[in-house]
Amino acid sequence: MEINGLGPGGQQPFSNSDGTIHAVVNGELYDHHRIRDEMTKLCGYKFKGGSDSEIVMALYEYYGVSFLSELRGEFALCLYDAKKQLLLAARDRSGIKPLFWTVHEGKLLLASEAKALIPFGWRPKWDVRSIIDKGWLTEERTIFKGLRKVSSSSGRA
Amino acid sequence: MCGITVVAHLAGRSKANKSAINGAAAGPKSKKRKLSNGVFGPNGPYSTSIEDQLDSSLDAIKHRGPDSHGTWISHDGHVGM
Repeated sequence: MEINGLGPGGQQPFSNSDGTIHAVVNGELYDHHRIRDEMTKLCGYKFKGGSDSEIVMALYEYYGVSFLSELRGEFALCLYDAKKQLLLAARDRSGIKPLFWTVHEGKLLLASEAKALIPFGWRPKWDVRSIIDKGWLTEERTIFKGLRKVSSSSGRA
Repeated sequence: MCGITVVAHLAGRSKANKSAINGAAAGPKSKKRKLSNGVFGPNGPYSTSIEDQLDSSLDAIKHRGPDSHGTWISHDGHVGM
């Protein structure tokens, strides 16, 4: 659902100017107007649209992986840096926005909901141990075997 | 965008059908592999083309944000979002 950046420039996935960095962001990033102005001044980043989520691209280009500490909001994001062969997944510190991951048949799969992994051949099976000891409530485990949550307030690369 | 999906082939561990990977990058051809019955079967909506898989995946979570739908797939078909 688009709230900020309703024009074509706000379309995702985002790509940087030379097409080497791509990102998808779910959620809302606070104080994006200030960050947008700052990135324009600091590194001359040229934003394509008005979406708050696009600041992720500028911040990563400027700060590298440590850009996560600059983010405030409720978000789940994945960023791929083709030059560094780096895939980064992160969630906000409160874990408001969901992001699940698993490895299936040699592929790393990430999605906002478990059902989105089914088209890739993943099949949900109950993780009974996780359900019994409530691991799905307190840890990275979920109610499904092999499916993990990206920890809140963390990034995984 | 309120629902996101990402797929990345892990180097040296992929058992994926290589023609499906190359097909997503170079053209529309892809082999369909045997899946279970029903919607996951060979006549169902899911195929092994990474583009089709991403589209199906985003369809499954379109209730999270139906306003827009976009995908990007690397030229070698190894990463998609």
